[in-house]
Amino acid sequence: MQDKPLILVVDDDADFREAIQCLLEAGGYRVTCARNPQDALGALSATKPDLIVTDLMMDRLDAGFQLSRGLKQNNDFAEIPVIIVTAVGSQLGLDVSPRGDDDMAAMNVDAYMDKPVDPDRFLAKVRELLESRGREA
Amino acid sequence: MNAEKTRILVVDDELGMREGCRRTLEAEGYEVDTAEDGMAGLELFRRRGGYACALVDMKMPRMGGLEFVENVHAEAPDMVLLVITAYATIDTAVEATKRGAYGYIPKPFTPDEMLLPVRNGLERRALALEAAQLRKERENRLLELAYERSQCATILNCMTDAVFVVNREREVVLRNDAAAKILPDFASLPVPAPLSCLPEVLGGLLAEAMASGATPLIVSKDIELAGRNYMVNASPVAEHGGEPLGAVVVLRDISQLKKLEAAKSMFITMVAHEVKRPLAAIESFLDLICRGMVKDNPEKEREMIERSLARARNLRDLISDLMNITAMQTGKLNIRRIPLDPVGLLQEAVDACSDKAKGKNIELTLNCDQSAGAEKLLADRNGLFSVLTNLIDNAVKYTPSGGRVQVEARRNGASLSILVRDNGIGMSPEESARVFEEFYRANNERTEGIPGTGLGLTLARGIVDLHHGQIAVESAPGKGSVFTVSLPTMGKKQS
Repeated sequence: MQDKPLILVVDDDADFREAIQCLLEAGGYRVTCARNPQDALGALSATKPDLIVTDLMMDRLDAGFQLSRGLKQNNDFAEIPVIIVTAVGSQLGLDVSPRGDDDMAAMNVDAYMDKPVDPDRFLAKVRELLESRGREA
Repeated sequence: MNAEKTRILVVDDELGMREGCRRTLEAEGYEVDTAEDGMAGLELFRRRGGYACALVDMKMPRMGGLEFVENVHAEAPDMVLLVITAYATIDTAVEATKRGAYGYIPKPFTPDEMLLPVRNGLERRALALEAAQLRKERENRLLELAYERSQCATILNCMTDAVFVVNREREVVLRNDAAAKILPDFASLPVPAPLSCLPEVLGGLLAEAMASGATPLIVSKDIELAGRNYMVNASPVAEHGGEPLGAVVVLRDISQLKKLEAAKSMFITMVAHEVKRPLAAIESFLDLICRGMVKDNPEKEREMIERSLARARNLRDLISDLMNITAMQTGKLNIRRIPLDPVGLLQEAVDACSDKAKGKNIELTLNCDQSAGAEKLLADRNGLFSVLTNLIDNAVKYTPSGGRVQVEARRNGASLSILVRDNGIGMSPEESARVFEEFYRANNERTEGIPGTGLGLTLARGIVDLHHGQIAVESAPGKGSVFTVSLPTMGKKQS
């Protein structure tokens, strides 16, 4: 029997990190957390996760994209799905929300969601991405 | 205009001649003065002046006609001088006209023989005067025009907006100094220069404006040239709805505005993000609780409720800080400077934070040097109080239990130095450098879970700036931080 899938949550907001962890654990996943991309890289090399959920704006505006791009360019991690979950709004100022799959591919991410997430939609997306990789809880 | 009669001077030594002329001329509507010789005539001419015409006898005692003519002509060249002579020879006529006479009347003469040359002369004089007047007006107009042109050129060249004018042949026929500055390459070309020498986007706008025909079309566009942003307005130049004679384009440098716009957008993005963060945490926690996902872990459930409450409070602080920041940035922060005793204010600020310090078992002390209270500060009480409590509150927040926060004050020349020193978690040089930035919060394992808006120090620096003071930080990770505020004191006399 396979282990439960491992999900890495990267977010600089401790409360949100805990909420997502709680949600994912209730969904039947194992969760590991990192508060910034640097710590995430450390956690990745220790244990390779099956999926990554990352915030966008952390120490810098596009920290989430930067992390994701770095992973997709690394053969060891390129296949790990990445979900961006962000509170960066798309109505005003800088709009980074993708318009479609092409945008998402250009951003090197597999899903893009607004914060806070709808728990059902979020878990469904996680399941879908893991299934496409042949990993399910 | 004809209220004044034309005045004629008759100079003759024969009384009969004088009076005869007078009667004839007065009957014609002229005003007539008479003199009995050249000398008297010249004297009268100089004293009364304003004569249009003089009839002068050639031979007179004291001063003859020729001498009179010479003198008067020199002083009033437009006066009609007619010489009356019994010796009507070519020689005398030539001599008289040489000296400035208009003509001569041979004696004896009938009234008509006299009146005819007088009328002719006056008519000629009127024409000459009119011509002179016109000439003068023309000269004035030319001067005015030259002045206007130079005025226009000066105004155009003093404008900060760049102006180009293109004629129907698509040549740039005018450009001002600002235009030359924006396009230095183009400025070195002779005027007129072909439109194709202008950057394509400008040439295109000019062509578009020119092609607009009877209804003038004003074309506006934001463009980028050599790394700067310009708002371009192009409009056709036409007289009274006629075919465009050309087009004029005005470029205004809006780089500053664009930067401001971008900064504003960025600020709004940051604000939205910072507001959504605590909301996302609260909503996520409450959602988990409502869905019963933590009901098996009452301790965790309680913790989530408490964290939600803390985040809600943090959100309220954030909104209040945002209001203050906006008030400060728009110059609407209500700053009322009054003489303040710094020691008293510091004590109040320390007292306000003492409960929080006690709760964390942090030793909070105030140590004011004797010199500190010697001079008052001219400062806004609420503003300064918020700076001090913010610094002390931060020190308590970022110092682990059992630590120490020391507030010190001492005179430093003409200013007062206030130091808030802690032996808390400290900051790296990178973190220290950014700590006054809007929304910047150091994020590491030691700062996690410590609430903050990321605006407190931005506000503090803004308020200190308004007091012409300085705020600085020295820090080292694990060793603690020292925030120093320096404020100018009032001086002994005023305090």
